Amino acid sequence: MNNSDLTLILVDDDPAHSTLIKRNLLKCGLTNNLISLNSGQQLLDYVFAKGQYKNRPTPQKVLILLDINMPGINGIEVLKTLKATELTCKIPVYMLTTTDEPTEIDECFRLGCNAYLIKPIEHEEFAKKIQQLGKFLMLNHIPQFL
Amino acid sequence: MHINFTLKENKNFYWLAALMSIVALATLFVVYFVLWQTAIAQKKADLVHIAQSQARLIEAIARFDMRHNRVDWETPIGERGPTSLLSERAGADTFSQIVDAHKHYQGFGKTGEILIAGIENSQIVFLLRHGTQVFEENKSVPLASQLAEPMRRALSNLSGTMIGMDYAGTEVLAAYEPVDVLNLGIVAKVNFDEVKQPFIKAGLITLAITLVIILIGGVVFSYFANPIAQQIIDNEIKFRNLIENISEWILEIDLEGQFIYSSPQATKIFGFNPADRLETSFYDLIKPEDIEMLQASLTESLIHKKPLSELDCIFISEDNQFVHLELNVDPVTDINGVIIGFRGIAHDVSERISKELELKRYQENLELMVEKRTEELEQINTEMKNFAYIISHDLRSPLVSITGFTGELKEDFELISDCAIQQLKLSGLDCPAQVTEALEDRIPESIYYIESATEKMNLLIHSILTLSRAGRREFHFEQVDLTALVNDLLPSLAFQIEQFKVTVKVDSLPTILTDKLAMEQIIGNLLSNAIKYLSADRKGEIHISSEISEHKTIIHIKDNGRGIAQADLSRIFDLFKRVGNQDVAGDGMGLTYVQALVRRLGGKIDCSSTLNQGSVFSFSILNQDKTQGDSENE
Repeated sequence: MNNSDLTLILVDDDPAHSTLIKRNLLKCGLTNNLISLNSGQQLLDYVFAKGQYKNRPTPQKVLILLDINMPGINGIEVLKTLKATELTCKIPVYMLTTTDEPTEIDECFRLGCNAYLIKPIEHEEFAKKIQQLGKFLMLNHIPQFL
Repeated sequence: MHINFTLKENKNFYWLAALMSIVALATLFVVYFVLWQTAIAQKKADLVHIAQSQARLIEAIARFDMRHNRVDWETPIGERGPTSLLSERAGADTFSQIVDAHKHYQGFGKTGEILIAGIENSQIVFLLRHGTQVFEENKSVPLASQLAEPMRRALSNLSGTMIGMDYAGTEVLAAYEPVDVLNLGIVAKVNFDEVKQPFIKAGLITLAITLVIILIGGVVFSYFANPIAQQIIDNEIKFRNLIENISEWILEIDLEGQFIYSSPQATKIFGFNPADRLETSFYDLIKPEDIEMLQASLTESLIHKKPLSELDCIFISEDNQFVHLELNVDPVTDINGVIIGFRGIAHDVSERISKELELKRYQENLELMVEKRTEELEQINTEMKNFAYIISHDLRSPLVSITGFTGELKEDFELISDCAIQQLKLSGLDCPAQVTEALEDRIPESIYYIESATEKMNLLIHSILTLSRAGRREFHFEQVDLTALVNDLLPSLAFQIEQFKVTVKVDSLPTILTDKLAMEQIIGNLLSNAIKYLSADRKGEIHISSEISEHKTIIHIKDNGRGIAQADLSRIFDLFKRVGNQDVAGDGMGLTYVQALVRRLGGKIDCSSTLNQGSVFSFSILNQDKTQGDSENE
């Protein structure tokens, strides 16, 4: 099984985190198209093809890796918007965040996130987790389309 | 006022004595009157008897003489005249016999007299007067005069008794009787004075005795009655003093509210005593708004005949100040049980009320302050919670980057250094020692320190987060059997218990209403500490006991471990503080966490310890309201 047509959208306000995630995904051999955004607003613009993304190409399949703590519209609000909109409610959203707060985890699942990944602080664990995610994304069928 | 009372009472005594005297005298008088009447009647009967028997005897003698002598019966007696009468032989015989008979007659009384008379020349001529002596002299009294009325009646052929004047003008009691045959009259009389004399004498004696008795009685009565009266007066004075000197106002009013009595305390309260002002009624003193309430209460008291107590009422003083009085009122009944008014005692509570108001104001103020402060504290608390949360998260994010890139750096550096050292060796080039040192020692060392620092930082952030969560987690109260809880905890420490050969003694602990998880964390931490910091010199002994009081349960965890120095005791609950030998791993957070949980459960944690001997950690848990807990469990 191959998900080569899957576009990953990574949303994180911290470029360091984005870089680390991207590096580790590449290390595990993931070659998918990866779009890195740094705010909730940018993501919504992208998804709904607004603003600077008005003329974006339409990808076949997308999966969103979404941070929670972001200035402006935070991850939970973005998740809520996406899941409440018929057009976007089927897009898989994986929360990828430093928060291990049980109430926030519950809230995200309640809102309909598809997975909740906590960024480990230890580098080895972090690398391992992101690479496992990469392998998972490569090997498993992601059925939803934008 | 009480002086009047005494005089009045004494006056009553005099009246009583006078009344008794009058009654005694009246009784005496009635008795004497009856006796007098009887005596007079008796005397009259005696006199009548004497007069009649004498008359009949004289008639009998005269008839006898008439039969044997010549008597001039033809001449009417009025025309015969005394001389002619006496000169009549037969008459003389008769008369002499009568006189003789009378000479042997003892007479009666001192002044008793029998008179025989006839009429001659319009004169009453007395033929015989027989008192204690017999007087045969002739004495005459004119027929038309006030004197000798009894004889006049006898000579008028009347028979009876009377009190009137005799021939000498003396008042006499007399019986008169005509002597038919001789046309004479006979009168038996006795001086009225003689009749009265014994009565007057006896009356005077009795009166004297009575007066003496009354006098003695009065003295005796006053002898016995005076102490009683004095006692009554003393009591009156005593109670009056009490009433007039206590701080309460005593009052008595009739049903219209008019004062019957008002103690002098009223002057202190109102500035005047309403009892001194007839126009001021009880209701005039009351604040108009309160009158209705008070009247309703009094009416209720009237209907149920029950006293009213602690009735708060506002009165108005003379200078228009409000006075709060607390009234206790009893209905007053007359002899027949009919309520005629109220008697009350009033206590001035103005000061108390004003203090209460002040206190209430303070309380309200305090409540406001507490509310405000609580709000502030709650806000601070929330901020603190958020602060801890934000810190732990926001610090985590850069930490992820630091550790992440350190890891990347390390990996890349290992690639480079392996490669570089290999290349250098192969090329045979001289490499500056500094570069070799950097590659082989300094860079790995730097990376190591960065990693250990980030690891430590991670630990701290984790601790802060845990602590902040302990403050936010909601407790679920349930009945927790602490003995069972401790026994469930021990297996998780079994390895260390075995390792240090620890004896753990667990007393029978109570079942309390509390949060089970919190209790596990508290006891688990303390037990774990007790085991961790045992002394290597001796076998470990840990003792868990409890103390139960009305409001709290205290759990003691005692060990014989290394103990804590006195100077360090105050800091053991501080965050990240670790005291004593740092030979055992720990994050310096356990006791802080335990303290936070104990405090949230409304308790306190203390530690007493002696260095090298052991420590006792004691924590108290407030006993929760059982019913509340039960309902929560339902």
